Amino acid sequence: MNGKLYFALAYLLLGPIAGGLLAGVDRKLTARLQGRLGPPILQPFYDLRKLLTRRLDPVNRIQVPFVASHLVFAAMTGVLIFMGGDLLLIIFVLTLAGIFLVLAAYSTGSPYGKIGADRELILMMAYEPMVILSLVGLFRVTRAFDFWGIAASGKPLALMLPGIFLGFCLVLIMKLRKSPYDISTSHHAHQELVKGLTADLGGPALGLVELAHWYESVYLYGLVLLFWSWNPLAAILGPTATYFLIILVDNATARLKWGMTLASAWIITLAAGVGNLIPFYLGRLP
Amino acid sequence: MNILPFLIGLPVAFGILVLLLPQGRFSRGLVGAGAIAQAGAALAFAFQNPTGGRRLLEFELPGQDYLIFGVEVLLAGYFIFASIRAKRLLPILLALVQIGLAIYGEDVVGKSEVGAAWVSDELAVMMVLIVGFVGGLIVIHSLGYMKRHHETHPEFRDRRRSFWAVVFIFLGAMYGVILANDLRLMLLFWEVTTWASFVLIGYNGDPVSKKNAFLALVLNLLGGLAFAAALLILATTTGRVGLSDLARIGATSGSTAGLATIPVALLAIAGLVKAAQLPFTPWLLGAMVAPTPVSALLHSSTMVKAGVFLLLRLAPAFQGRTTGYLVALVGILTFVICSFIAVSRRSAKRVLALSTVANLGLIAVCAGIGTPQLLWAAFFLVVFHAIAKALLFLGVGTASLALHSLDIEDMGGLVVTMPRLAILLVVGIAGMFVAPFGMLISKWTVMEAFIAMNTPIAPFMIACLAWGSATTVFFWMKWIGVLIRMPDPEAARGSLEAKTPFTEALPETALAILAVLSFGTFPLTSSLLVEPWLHASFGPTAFELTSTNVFTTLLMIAMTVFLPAILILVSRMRTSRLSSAYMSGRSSSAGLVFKGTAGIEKRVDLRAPYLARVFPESRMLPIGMALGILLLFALVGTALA
Amino acid sequence: MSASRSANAAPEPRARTKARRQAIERSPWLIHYDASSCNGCDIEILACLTPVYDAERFGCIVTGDPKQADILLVTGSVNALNGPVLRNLWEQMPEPRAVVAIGACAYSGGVFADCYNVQGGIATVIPVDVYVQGCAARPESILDGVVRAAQILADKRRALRADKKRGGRGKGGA
Repeated sequence: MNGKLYFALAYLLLGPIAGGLLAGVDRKLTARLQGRLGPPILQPFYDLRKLLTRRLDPVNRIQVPFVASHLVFAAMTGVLIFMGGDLLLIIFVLTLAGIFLVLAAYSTGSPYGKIGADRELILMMAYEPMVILSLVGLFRVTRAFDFWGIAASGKPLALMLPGIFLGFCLVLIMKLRKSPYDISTSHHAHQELVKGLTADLGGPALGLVELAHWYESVYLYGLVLLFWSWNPLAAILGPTATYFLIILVDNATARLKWGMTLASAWIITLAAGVGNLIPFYLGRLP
Repeated sequence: MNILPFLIGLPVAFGILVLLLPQGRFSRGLVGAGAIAQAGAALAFAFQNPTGGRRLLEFELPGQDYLIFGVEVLLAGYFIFASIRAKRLLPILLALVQIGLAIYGEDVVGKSEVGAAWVSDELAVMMVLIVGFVGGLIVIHSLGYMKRHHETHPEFRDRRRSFWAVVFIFLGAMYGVILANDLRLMLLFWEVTTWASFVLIGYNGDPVSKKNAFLALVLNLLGGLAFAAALLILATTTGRVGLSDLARIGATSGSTAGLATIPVALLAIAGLVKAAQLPFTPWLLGAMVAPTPVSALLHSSTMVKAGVFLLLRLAPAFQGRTTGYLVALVGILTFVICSFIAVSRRSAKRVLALSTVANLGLIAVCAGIGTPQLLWAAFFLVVFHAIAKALLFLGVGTASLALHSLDIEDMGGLVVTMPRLAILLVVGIAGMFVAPFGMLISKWTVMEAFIAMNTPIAPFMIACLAWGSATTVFFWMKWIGVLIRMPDPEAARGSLEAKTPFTEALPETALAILAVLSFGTFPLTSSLLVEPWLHASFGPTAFELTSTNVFTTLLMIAMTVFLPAILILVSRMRTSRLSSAYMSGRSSSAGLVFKGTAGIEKRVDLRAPYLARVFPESRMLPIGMALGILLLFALVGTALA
Repeated sequence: MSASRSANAAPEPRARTKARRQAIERSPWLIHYDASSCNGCDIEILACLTPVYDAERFGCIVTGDPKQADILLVTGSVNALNGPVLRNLWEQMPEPRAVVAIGACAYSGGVFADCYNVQGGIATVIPVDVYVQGCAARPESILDGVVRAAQILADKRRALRADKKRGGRGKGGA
């Protein structure tokens, strides 16, 4: 228990740094893929520092509390994961974090925030089945519900659960706000919906959202690591390859409409996710 | 002193009394006193029968059999009379068949034995408390609500005395359903609730209400017929008509179990009808035309719970059997289809009704599969859902009187115009789906149980639960989004709230507090009530909450409640200027009024997404009902085989 | 052609060492508004985001939301309809903020200065910090202007902080 506590604490303190670096390398890579030079790798930290030191007149008094709650629960999700909590219960904390951000956007009454919030709810509806199915798959193979238990299983999860991993990558794309599923807000193409979900959030509020996003990226890639945790080489190559692949897909695809987002996500979840699970319940696999 | 006769008799007495006295302040005071008195009786009952497993209660009226038969004939007569007046044939036929069965089986059924006529255990105590307290609060709410209801709708005849009379008799009957072990008694009270539902749905007296009242009557009579048939078969084949006897026989393996299969299947159908599972869902959806207290009391918190209560009592006979799996399939199907349909509905009461049916479906799943973990989840689903849904219905009722509309879109910005109500509605909605509140705990447990199951239908169940959960988050959140929309945060606060009477505000607030308290104390409830209940059936090591999960959940509760509150307080203290929302550079005043093209002034008009083409009720409900009918045939077919 | 400073900007900045560069200078977020431009300058602004010119290497992100932006890039001239809009956008930007007027039209109305609907350059409604000359302005000039504006932002931020230290809310950059 002690080791897990320290790890969770390390996540809490160092997670933003790791998340910021992930974001910085992401932007650099994206730029290079597009033939540009790109910003310095530490750029996200400059952005965050700038945002946190701005003065902001909010649209209403409830926006910033909601965003702060969003940050707290996003960080708490990661803390609970690395403390070895029941992953199935933690999904609901994850959902709760998302809910607070949606509430912040809805509360302004502005059209852009509202449409962004609607689309964020559609995204949540699109990825939630897959998140649940991923955990189910992980449990069926490893008989463990917690992060450390699954990691210690020693089974080649990405190879035994390829469909589930594919579906989980879908979830990753959505949560990291990458094309083709960046329908509610996006880091790159800003002009559609004028930042959507984060419209009317500026200065420190946006900084908190960024921070929450970094915490999320770290624990999401931590979950990716679970699929590749059976030997050190796989543990390094797997998540790294996933990282590159997601950036590649982001650059190679255009944004989907919300209908296609929902339909494609659910169809892939059904085919790859449920499809991957069925053999386990028919008793053919351990 | 045995509380049981008071528990049932007291509300009935109050009901008759209210009917006899003239309408006025005194009769309203009597209603309030009656509501409190029956809650007190429920509490006394709980104290008299605390935990410690099943208890047999002693009570018998002299001439009980004739009384039961007499009341049943009376009820059938009422149905026939009402149907003749409304020129409807089907209810007459069904009522006649019911009387026919009663007369035919009178001899055999009358002579049957029963181990214990009345039984109480932790589940029963919990349900008694729910009926007592939630029911009592709803009755108090109805004092203010019904008055305003008639002021708003002068075209409906004011029959409030009959209204309260029926409600009180219904409460007595509910206690009867919960505590009766003798199936003859249970059937009697079951039919009384059918009668109450019929009368109350048709309360307004207009054609729509009458139509829906008869729809409910027909379907519930069908369920009652299944119940009566089960009773008859049981009496004929085994001579014992106790529910616990049946559950016990059904749970054994061997030749005696075969005797129980058909009655169990028929009772399952009766329970599914009462709980409005597919294909019987339309009666509950139609019942929403009734005034709000009816919807809150009968059609979400108590009567429909009687259906799943029966299923839970039958759980030992379901476990591992085809009947059980089929019941579970009906439940999960109802859950996922009704959750999908609720996305596209704009009427607040319809959304609440669909959500009620979906949650009842989940409870049915738990009863059908019947493992300790699932029964634990079912217990909490019953409790939390009853409280949260009652709160939501009462709140929606108050809102509809103020806004003259049940459309969710008309509740936009309620957090400014009716802040107290909006916050109570948010508490209720949060209790339905948000971590860490109540329903969430149950859903999580159900999920864990499915995952651990080794049967081939498990992936299907998991998938249905996953998809259903995803859509519930969507439609609840969308509603909260409409409520907290604040285009003008500094507008006249509470402008619509002033007219809400105390009798409406108090129960709503009380229910919200009750909701949060019950969520927060769930580990206590678990160890005091639920775990002993499970241990009695499954043995001492049946199920325990792991401490880390308890800690996690309690931490989440604390954070969700305190964190936003603290932050909101803090932000109120700083007097910073508020800016307006981004409107593409158009200067907009508070309330987002802006000058459009040609200088025409427009106000921003936002609508929540209903995705009607993706989740059409017109397609999904018939498909659901067709699948339900298939499963029903399978249920009967496999029982007969 | 290079960018030049407007008359009422902050005083000449001190020599800048790498270590003392402020965050705001490293992360100037832009909002781009086309007042009544022929789109020539706007196309050149978009070109700044492309591989050859790459504004992002300075940390620039074009965000469409004024609440998140530091620098307002404006092209085209002001008329009765877009004047209030431009003012509104500028007011929604939190301080410190900078305005870059790009192209001849933004300076004075350009070739359209005599038209009946043109009220003049951007300075008629909002204070401008940097003018980028050209018709259309070249991407290199635009980038130069943006970088200058970022430096001005840093100065304004310093002035704001100094004001706050002296007590009372300082009137930030115009």
